[in-house]
Amino acid sequence: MAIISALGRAARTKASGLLYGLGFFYNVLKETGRFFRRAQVGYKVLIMQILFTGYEALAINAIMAIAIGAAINVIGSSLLPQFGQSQLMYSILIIVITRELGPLLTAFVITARSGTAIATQLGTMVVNHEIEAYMAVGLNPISYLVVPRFIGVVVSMLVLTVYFNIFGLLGSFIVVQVVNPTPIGEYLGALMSTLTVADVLSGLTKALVFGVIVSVVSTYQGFAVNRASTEIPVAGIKAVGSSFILIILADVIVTLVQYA
Amino acid sequence: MPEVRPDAAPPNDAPRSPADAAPPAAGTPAAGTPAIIELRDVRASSGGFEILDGACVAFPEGLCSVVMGPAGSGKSTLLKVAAGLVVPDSGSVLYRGADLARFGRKDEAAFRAATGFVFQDAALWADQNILMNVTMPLRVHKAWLGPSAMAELARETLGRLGYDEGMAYRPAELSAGEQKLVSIARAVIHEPQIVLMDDPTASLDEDAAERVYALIAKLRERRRTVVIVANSSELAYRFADRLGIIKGGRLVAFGAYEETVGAAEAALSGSIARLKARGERVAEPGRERGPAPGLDAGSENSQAGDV
Amino acid sequence: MKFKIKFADQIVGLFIIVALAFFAVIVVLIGANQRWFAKDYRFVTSFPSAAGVAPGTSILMKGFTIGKIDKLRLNADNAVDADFHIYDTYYDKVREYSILELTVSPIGLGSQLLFHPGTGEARLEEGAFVPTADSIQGQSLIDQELVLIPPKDDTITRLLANVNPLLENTNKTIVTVNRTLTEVNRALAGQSSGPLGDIVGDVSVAAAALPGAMAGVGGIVGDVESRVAILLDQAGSLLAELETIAGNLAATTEAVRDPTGLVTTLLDPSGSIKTFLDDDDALYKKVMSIVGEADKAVRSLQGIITGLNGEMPKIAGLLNETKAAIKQAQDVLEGVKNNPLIRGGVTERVEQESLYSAMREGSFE
Repeated sequence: MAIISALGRAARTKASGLLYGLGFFYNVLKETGRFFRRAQVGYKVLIMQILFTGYEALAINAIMAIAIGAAINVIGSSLLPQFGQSQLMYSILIIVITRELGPLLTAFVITARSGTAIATQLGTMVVNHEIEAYMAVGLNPISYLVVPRFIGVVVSMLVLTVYFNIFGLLGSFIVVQVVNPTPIGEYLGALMSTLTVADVLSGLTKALVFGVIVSVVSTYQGFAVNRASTEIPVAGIKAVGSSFILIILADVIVTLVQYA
Repeated sequence: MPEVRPDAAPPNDAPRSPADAAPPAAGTPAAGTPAIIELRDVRASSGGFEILDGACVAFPEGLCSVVMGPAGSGKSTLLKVAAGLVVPDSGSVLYRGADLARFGRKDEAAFRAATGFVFQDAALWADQNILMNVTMPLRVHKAWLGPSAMAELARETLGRLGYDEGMAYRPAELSAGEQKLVSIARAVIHEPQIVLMDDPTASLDEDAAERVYALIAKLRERRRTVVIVANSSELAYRFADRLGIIKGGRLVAFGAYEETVGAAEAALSGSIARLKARGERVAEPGRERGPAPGLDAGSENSQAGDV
Repeated sequence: MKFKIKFADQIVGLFIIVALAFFAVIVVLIGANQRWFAKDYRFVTSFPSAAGVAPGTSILMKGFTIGKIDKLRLNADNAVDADFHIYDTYYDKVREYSILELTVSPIGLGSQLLFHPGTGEARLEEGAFVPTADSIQGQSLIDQELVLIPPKDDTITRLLANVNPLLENTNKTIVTVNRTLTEVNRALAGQSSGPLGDIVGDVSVAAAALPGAMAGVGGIVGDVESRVAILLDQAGSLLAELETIAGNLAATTEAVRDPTGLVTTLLDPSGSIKTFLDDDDALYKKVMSIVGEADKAVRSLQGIITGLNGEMPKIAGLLNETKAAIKQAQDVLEGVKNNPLIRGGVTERVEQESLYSAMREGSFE
């Protein structure tokens, strides 16, 4: 009996937690709509967020993209002609870089870098009553603290995904020139006739969804800190863990929706 | 406190009742004074612990109310509930008779513009420098002022409080006392109608505390509503038009100074005992003595914050 | 750090603008490569089945995509009506008598929809019907040679296309050789009354088809050359050998046809086997050399096929059988020549088996 009631209690807690999370998400969306309609003090926070989340992650993003793109290029140009299917290399490149790994790896990098940062930062602010201080001066913590981070992370995700494509598709080509020279015209022509707008949109859709997930989960976990500073690292860990799981689930769902 | 500028004067949205016209004598019950913030049967808990247990209190407009109580009695939570920073589990908080819980965006903005809050632990924004911290209420509520006017106002307000460090410092670079001064400056810079202070003199040295007393005196003089929760008999003795005693999450007494000091035998706490020991107050102590701080140098230094 | 914060706005602005610019460039490049801004010419066709075609299937001509399938519908006659478009740059290829051909890769690498331009002068009007190669209309266009059908596009299809007529011709030759042998055997057994000359004539006629196939082989070899360097030598020598066969057969044919020629004089209408054997082996040697060359040809062919052995054990097997048949023919002919009654015994054959015979043959037999 005790087990059953404990189970029931756990389920109720989970359900109310989920409802709370959805309510939080709804509020974030609502405040995001307002953010664009008025000049806000949050503008500076937004710029800094994009600087930290997007710009500063550019280097690692570029390295990953070039490495993966170069690997596919090298493998593709040596393995595929054996099957008489060298054209397939461009499809593989696009599926991996544009559709799948680009958004996914970018999201992982952003989660690891900015997700933890956001969660611990907001957690620290909660513990130091800075959130209450914002409320006291009439700043809605969601619109002032969450929305700029939300928009910043989403914009950074989208922009970094575009960069990932550029580095993965073109940067890797340049690297491969050292090993295996191919005329750029031929490469670009074949690539561009294989790449479709649907591929690009698919990648960007994923980037958008992942950005939303990372930012909402991280800010939510940051606010979930109550009062002890020992909760702050826990919030960071939870932000990363939940973000990863949700990102992978979302990736599967978005892919299924697009291919089904 | 900066001098009152015509353009910066707080909007006097609610017409004052005739009873307000004459300043009520401190220490006497002012029946005609309307409550500006009222808590009705407020219960609040945190982490499973009941903090407020049916607190009822009405802070009269234009007067200085001081609520005293031992550590852990729920003083800070009471103040946060009154400021709308903590949502009560049950009961209601009324601002000028309207329920805070039903406030729309505009009402809330007006309420925030009319209030200033001093946190017990300063609660400055660590990622912003002192200037940004202090001018934040102006940027939110008086954005038309422009950056240079805001900076000027911030310098003036901080100067009055005796803060003489640079404006470009981050909060973490300041001492606890300096942080507290900055947080007080932040609470009053936009000339709010109501100033809520959680232990404003905690962690301040005596000189700084005196400057804070002067500031509170000035606020009283200008008929701002001041609500202070503290365990400092000095604050109560100097400024309390209304004195409340909180114990175990309930207000066991709230009324005019003499009344509370005289009647609350049952709730006698160390502070009240000390107030009793001080005896009769000099007539209008706050009004008379406020602008001249430092005279009472021998007064007990009020460091009794509820940790 | 300080620099970054001071110029945060500029850095972030640049960061976003550069990404947007790249994005715009990529979209424009995709658009240019995928012809969003170019006009397409629409035509209709009809397939017996939609298997292997789908909306978006590329229409290829000599390896270039010149258009795509837009829409497929199952019509009232249970055929599949299809709309397709041809890019404006290739519109001038769409002439009268053009056809479409759906080829399916023999080793499961999907299908290709090929476009073969007609020989007509006039361009087809937009909306015109273009028949497929397997339709009656298409067949008649092909038969009338109103449409230019190039060799198939992928190496394997091309090799197969190359191999098939060769096999056919080889088979024809072998069948005839067999018939010859049968007749010879029957004659030896004293059962034949037909003229042996007719039979030898048949051999010549069948083998005369070989030069036709060889012209094709030349083209194919040239085309395959670039890709299948290893097979080139074998294909080249095959060609040479086939030419020898053709030359010999042509000579034989001439000889047979010449009313005063060697064969006619040798092969008297009564069909005496003695004549066949006693003419100083002239005819025998001729037939033998033909058969021997056919054998060599088939071996070379087998060399080519071993390249494809993994995928096509059947063809390799067939060739092995062919080889065996030819071997038998040689043995029998030699047996006839060395008839123990007349000469003496069959020479012992020491032969190396093909190294490339498919593993499957061994394990399943």
